[in-house]
Amino acid sequence: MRGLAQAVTSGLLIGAVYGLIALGLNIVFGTMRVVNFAQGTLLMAGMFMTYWLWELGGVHPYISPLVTAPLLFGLGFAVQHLFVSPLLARERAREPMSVLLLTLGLALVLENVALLFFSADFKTVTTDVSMQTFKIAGLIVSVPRLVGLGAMVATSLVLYLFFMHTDLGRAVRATGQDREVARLMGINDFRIYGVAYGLSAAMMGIAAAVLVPFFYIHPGVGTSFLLKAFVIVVLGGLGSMPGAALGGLLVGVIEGAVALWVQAAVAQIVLFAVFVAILFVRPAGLLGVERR
Amino acid sequence: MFTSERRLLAVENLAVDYGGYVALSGVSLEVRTGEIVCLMGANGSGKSSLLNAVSGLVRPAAGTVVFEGRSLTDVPTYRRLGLGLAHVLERRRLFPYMTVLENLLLGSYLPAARARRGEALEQVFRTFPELRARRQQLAHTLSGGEQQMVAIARALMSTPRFLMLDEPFLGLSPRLVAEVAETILRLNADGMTVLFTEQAIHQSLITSHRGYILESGRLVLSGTSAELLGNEMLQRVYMGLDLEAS
Repeated sequence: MRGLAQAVTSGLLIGAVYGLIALGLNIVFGTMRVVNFAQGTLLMAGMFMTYWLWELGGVHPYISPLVTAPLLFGLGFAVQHLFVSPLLARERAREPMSVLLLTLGLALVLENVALLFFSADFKTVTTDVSMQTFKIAGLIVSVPRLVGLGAMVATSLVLYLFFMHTDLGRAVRATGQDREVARLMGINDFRIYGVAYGLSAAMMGIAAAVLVPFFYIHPGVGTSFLLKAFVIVVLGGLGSMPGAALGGLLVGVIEGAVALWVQAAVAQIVLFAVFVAILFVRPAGLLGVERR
Repeated sequence: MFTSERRLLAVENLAVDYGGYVALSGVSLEVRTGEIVCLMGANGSGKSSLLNAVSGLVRPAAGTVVFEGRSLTDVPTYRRLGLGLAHVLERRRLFPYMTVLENLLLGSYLPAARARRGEALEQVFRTFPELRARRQQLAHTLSGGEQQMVAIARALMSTPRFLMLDEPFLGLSPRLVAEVAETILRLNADGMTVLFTEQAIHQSLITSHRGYILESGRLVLSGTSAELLGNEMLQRVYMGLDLEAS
C-alpha cells in the first residue's frame, strides 16, 4: 500500500507537467481547430533555451521563463503569422487537414535543425534542487516535481483568469467558438490565432523550466511528451481546459501506478488501453462537451 | 419616423459568386439615414449574400459597397463594426458556450466601445429587460426568441449607426415576431438605420419604409413599403405564397 501511495504521488507530480503541455495543445486546438504537432518541438526548444541560459549565463531554470516565455511567445506568434495563417486563410474547412500536416512538417524541420546544431547527445542540468526530496506522511516527494505541480496550478489559474476575465481572453474563446461572428465583433481573428499560438508556446517555456532540473534534454525529447499530451487532450475532452489538467494528472498516476508491477514499456500499453476504454464509454472525453 | 436624403449605404452592381455558383449579380440598392429597409426573397435568392458582402464576410466578385461615402472594398471585415456597421447573422449565431453577459461584452470588444461599456450595457438592459435576469445563463440554453434578443443586443453594444439583421423573425412564434418587429421600430424611432432580410413579405412591409425583392440573385422589384403592399403582381405571386405557406 505504501508502494502504491508513493507511485501515485510521483505520478501525480509528473502528470502535472503532462497537463501543462496538454493545456498548450488545447489552447491552439480550441481556438484554431488545429492539432499542433509542433507542440512537443516547442517544448524541446524551450528546454534547449533553458539549458543554454544555465550553461552560458548561469541562469537558474526556475528563473528562465522570464526570458524563454516571451521568446517562445514571439517564436509562436511568428510561426503562426508566417506559416500557419496564410494556409489557414486559404482553407474553408473548420478543421483543416493541411494545417495539421504543416505543423507536423514544422516539427520535423525544427527537430532536425536541433539535431544538426546540438547533436543527439543527452544533456542534463543539475541544479541545487535536482536531487532534493522531503518526506511527508512517509512518502518521498521530489522537490523539482512538486515545483512542476505548483507551476501547473499557477499557470492554470492565470490562464483561467485571462480567458474568463479579460477582453483579449474572451476574444480568444469567442474566435474558437465562431470565427465569423468574432470578426463581426471587431476581432481580428488572425491576430487572435497568433496570440493563442504564442501563448501555448510561451507555456512550453514554463514546462521546460520545471522539467530541465530532472529530465534529460535532447532534440527528440518533445515527441514522447507530445504523444502523452495527445492522449490527455483526447481523454479530457478536446478543447476542455479543466479536462487537460485533470487528464494530465490521471495519465501520470496511471503510469506511475502501473509501473509498480510491470516494466515501463508495458505501462505505456496499459495507459493506452485505459485511454481506449474511457473513450468507449465517453466518446467526447471526460470533461468534453458534444460539439454541435 | 425620421428619414433624410443622406445615403448611408450604397451598393452598386454587386455580384457574389461561390466558386461558379452565382448568388448575386448586378444588384444595386441604397439605404438612407433613418430608414428601415427590408430585403425580401425566397430561400437562396441571395439575401444573406448581400448582407455578408456588406459586412465583409464574403468578398464580392464585382461591384462596390460604399458606407457613409467610403468604399469598403479594402476594409477588412473586423474593421467594419468600428465604422458603425453591425451585422446580426441568420440563426442569431451567439457564442454558444458563453453566458449572455459575455456575449454582450464581446459586442463591445472594440476599444471605443469598451470605454462606454457600462452605459451601453444599461441601455441594452433597458431595451431588453428580460436579459438582465438571464445574464449569467449560457447562450445555447436560451429559447429562440431570447437568442434573437441577445443577438440584437450584442450588436447594439458598440452603438452602431447601421444595423443589418438577417432573417430576424426566422423560427419565432407569431407573438415573438411581433415583439422583434416592435423592437426594430423602436430602435429606428431612436435614430437607428436598419436593413433586414425576410421571407415573409407582409410582415416585412409593415415593419419597413422601403423594400427590395430579390429573385435568384437579381433585384426584381423595389419601392416604398406602401407601394409594394399595393402592388398587384406582388400580391399575386408572393403574398399568395405567404398564405399558402402559413
